[in-house]
Amino acid sequence: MSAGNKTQDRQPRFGRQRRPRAALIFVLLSLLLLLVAAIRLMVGSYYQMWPTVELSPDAQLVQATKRAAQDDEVEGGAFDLLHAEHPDWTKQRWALAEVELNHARRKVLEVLRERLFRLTAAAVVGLALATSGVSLQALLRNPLAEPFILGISTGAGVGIMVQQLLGHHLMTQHVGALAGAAITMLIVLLASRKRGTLDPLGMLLTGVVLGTINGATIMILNYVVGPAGLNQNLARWMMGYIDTNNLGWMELALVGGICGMGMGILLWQARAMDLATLSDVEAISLGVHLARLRLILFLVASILASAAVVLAGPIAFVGLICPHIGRLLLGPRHLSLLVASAILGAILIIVADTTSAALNQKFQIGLLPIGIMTALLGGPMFLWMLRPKLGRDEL
Amino acid sequence: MTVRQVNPATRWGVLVAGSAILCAGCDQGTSAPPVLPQLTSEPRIVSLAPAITQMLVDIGVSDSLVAVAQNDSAAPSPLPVVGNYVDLDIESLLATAPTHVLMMTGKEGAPKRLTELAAAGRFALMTYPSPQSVEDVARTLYDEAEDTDPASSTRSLGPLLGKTEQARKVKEQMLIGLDRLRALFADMSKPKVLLVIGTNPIMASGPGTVHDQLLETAGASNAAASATVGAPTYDRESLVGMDPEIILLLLPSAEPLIPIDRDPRLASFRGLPIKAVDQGHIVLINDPLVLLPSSSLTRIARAMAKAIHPDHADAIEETLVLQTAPSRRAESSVLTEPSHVGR
Repeated sequence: MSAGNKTQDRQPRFGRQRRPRAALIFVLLSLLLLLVAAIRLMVGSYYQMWPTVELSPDAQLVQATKRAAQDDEVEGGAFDLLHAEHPDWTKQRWALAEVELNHARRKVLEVLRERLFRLTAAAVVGLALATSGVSLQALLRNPLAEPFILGISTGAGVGIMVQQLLGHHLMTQHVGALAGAAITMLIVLLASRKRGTLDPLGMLLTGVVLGTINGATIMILNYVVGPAGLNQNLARWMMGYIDTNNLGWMELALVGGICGMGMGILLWQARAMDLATLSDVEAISLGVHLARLRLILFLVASILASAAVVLAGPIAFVGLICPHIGRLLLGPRHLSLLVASAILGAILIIVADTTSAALNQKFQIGLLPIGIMTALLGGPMFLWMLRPKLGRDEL
Repeated sequence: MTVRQVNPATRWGVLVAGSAILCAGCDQGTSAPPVLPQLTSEPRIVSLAPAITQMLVDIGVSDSLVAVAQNDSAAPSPLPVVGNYVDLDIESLLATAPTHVLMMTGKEGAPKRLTELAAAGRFALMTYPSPQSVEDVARTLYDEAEDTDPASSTRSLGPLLGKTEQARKVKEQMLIGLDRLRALFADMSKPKVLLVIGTNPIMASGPGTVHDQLLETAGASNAAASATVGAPTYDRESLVGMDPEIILLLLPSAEPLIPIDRDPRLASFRGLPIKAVDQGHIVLINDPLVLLPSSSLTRIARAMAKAIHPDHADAIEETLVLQTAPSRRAESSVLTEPSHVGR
């Protein structure tokens, strides 16, 4: 056998999955995503199903008259129709009832907007965290890698604390979070370069050490700035929650667009990521530009993690388990793994948010942080899926 | 290069001497002869709870305060800080030579080291339960039950510090002031008010809290009355569902509000179709003591009442019970007027 054939034989068998099975899994995952999204739109944190607004008798009468006028295409308008039957009605009374109707309509629209916003934000956060996890696990060749292992979440926390210390309370905390995450990213990037290329082990160690330093910095700033105990805003932020208060559709579209681009880049590099799981020598001999790939993976993974942090704080676990569940379902091929992980991440965050909303509606306990819900929901599910492989060196 | 050999006997000697020094240092706290506190002379008080500090100021013993806990907003003047209730600096505390250490505790009780030092006679340690109601605050000031039960293990602040009469007056003024406010609004309609104690995310004061009680006194109903926790958080959907008529932001020492579209603290309320937003009824109370369950409650209740019923501001002022012997703090303190949202 020639040397070339040997190399060919040693190539990973990434492309040998049964395509119909993979297609079926994708269809099922997509249907599941649609289902949980539909459920989220129906389950509110306050209202059961759709919001209902109690109307006064006047507003009810005006509403009914307007519908009747619309159905019958009455000329002269709804007021004339009502006035014909109820001569005591004045234009002023009509206007007041209309104000009430408009207010009720605004309420319904606001609730639907809120649910749709949370749903979209949850999907973006899930996608960003899961694909960032896939990327980092490939980059660091470590199955325990997850988006915040490089200290990005704690860096964002430092940014928030510094912002509070400087008294920039009139600026949303996202600015501080983004700055902190970016600075941490830059330090990891500069510290882990070895002969012009990124060293995965160095990156991992730098990230872990930076995470510890950032954690200590948060604590000391917290001690200096605030009263005893962890700063309430920071404590809540660290538990992870979808912030719909300080973000609008523009910001969400921007972050979503960045995540979409990041996902696109990762999909474009999927084949190279497959090969990079081999040794450095093998990957390079198969034509992979390792230095460039590592830089791309690091930057994209960090940007995705930062995007998720800006939208929802540091939600742990999603970036760790979704890639593993994806591998269990579809194998190690990165093209399908990235897509499956993104869908799984979105599903997990949406389910966590829905559960949090449903619990609040039922028990009035406030919205539980998403980070807690993802761990409580995803952890047992992951262990159950992993059960057949535990102790068999197959991870 | 030469390596200097150390004699094994010298090495052991150094080790034994070092260990002895370390042991001596470790034992410093317990081996020293106990010094009994001078309870009858001028008290030297360390307050580990801002609520207690405020009560001490109001009953006129602020001059006896020798140290406070970190971030004590009620401390009358810069005083030594001895850490906080979760992380006490015992060395600093002992350096102030206190006769009394006063603190509020939850179910966990006082820190073990403090109880040990108190048992050794270094100071008198008095712990009071964290107040859950106005009555709890009043009992911490002065408890009539102690008059009939002198053997009572806990002693309220007045009798403890020899200021029984002053404490009784402060308590009476507080309770009478609150009763007058309650009476003023007894027959009026009670608007639904959301008491916000955190803005990102929105965290409110729920039922069964001291501030819930104050709100009722100030002639309003709590929009978060159905919550099952003391400090529930709310998203925009819940805020729409609750539809409060007035939003009161209780943020100690916060900057005044600016227009809702530019103030990040009001971001959660932007564009919400609720009465409070539509009518611009968002009010900030930034009194530094606004969240303290202390003898300042009447003042906070009055600020709430003014914010909720601005048309009755004069009548609310008339409920003010004049202090017979104003404390130094009371003379200098200025009630922060509610700041309304800019539109």
